[in-house]
Amino acid sequence: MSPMADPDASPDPPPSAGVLIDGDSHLELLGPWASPDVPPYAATAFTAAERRRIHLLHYLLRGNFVLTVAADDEDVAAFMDGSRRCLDLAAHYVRDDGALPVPDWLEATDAGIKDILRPDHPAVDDVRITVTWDQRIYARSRPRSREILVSAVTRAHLRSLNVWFWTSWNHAMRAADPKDTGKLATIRAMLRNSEGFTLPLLAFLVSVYRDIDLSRLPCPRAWDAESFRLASLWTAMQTTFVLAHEYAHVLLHGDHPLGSPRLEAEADAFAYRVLLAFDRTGFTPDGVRPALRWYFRLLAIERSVGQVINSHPVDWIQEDIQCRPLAFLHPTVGDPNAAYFDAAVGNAAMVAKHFLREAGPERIREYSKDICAEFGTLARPTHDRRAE
Amino acid sequence: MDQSATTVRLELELEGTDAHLLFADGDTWLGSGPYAGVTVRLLEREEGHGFGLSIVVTVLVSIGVNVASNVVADAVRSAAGRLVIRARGRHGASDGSAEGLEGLVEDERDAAEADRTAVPEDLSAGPGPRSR
Ligand SMILES: [Zn+2]
Repeated sequence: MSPMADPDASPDPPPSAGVLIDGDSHLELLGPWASPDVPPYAATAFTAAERRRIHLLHYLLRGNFVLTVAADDEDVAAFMDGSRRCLDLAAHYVRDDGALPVPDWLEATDAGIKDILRPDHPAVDDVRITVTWDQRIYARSRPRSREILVSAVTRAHLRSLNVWFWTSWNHAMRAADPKDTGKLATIRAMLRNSEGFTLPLLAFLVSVYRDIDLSRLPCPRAWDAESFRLASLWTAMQTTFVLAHEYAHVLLHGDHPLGSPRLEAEADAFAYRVLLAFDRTGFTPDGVRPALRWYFRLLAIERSVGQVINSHPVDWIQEDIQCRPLAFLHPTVGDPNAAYFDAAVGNAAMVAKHFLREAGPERIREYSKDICAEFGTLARPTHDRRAE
Repeated sequence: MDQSATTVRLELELEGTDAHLLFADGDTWLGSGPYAGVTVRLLEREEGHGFGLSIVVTVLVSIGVNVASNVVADAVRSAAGRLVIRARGRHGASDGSAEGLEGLVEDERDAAEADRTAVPEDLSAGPGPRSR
């Protein structure tokens, strides 16, 4: 277990179930859970490429279960047993045909978006979704072939990052000095532990740029069931937004060369409208704003981290990304409390960025190496044509 | 092109969306100095667009006989002129790290050299990706 999942670090954890089920994850793949036809996983029976897929699928299947900070030893043992069975199942699927099924969450999101768009865009039913094994938070549209590619790990990564935000947020609220009554007391408490907040995020961000074994990535614990519900809601908002954004390119921008800020803004505004029309409780402007703010901020930090660890000139501002949500996130109306929380989420992301900037490139590269060492990369053999 | 050079085809995922800025001086990058012997030619830019703000291009890398694979990897990164997020060859894939790219280049070179010395029946498989 990673230190981020240390229940002792949480003062006075709330009473809660120790293991939660993620209903938006991949429950559809747990069918053969008890089947004797699924033998224990034997790594030697697979090629390196197959093992890589098995580990990725294991990461997704394991994500059906989430420990809370209140989990006791028995819960952790049950979680580990379940994780082992998920590995058997992952091997079973990869051995079977190696294809990645379109997960339920993606099918449901896609169907919901199509329902909203159909009246104005009958061609929406021609758009096909393909799931990829790419180890990235990633969606890609190919307007000419009316295809949208989505990496299977997109949702799992976002969920982990969202769970970590909410657990850290709750933790900081508890840890805030009772005499510190200002609106930003929670953020001040997060700042006091900015390393503890940032390093777990970094593991996920580094995994985008390094062939880390996803199977061994840390499992952030949820604070409690309600906090997990909010993290899941954010995840649904983010994945719906990303998919709807790609729909905009396919339906509106088929003949344009993509990449211009104007088309991106158009696709973002389109996605935002789809999100607010989406049939799910909580998809309101006040609810959506912090979820997307957190997502875009993470995207910007992810890009900066990638530049640092690949020894590329680093842009800590990432204006292209940071400015994107302003067009639709700018609060025009509102509940002051919602606006305050939205600003606080932005500040929480700044805590992580500030920590990394202060640490500097050398230290970040060391962190990245530590992460690769701790979670394991998919090693390659050494080569003989290397020049020193 | 040098007959003794090996060519490998790589698909690169690069940061940014402004594909027109890539290889601004034309579609071929000629390595010089430490990168002498390496040529990177831009074959195509993938249609479409990624939410992760990236573009996908396919390049053909021509590698002189004695050029080390880590130098080739550096040359590819230098030719791209921007962050390489992921790379893919005909036989494998890697992350954009120096070590990852070097390993991928090495594997693709081995495969390309094996193809060159392959027995003629290998060709009967016809066009399309050849399996090893
Ligand atoms: Zn876009």
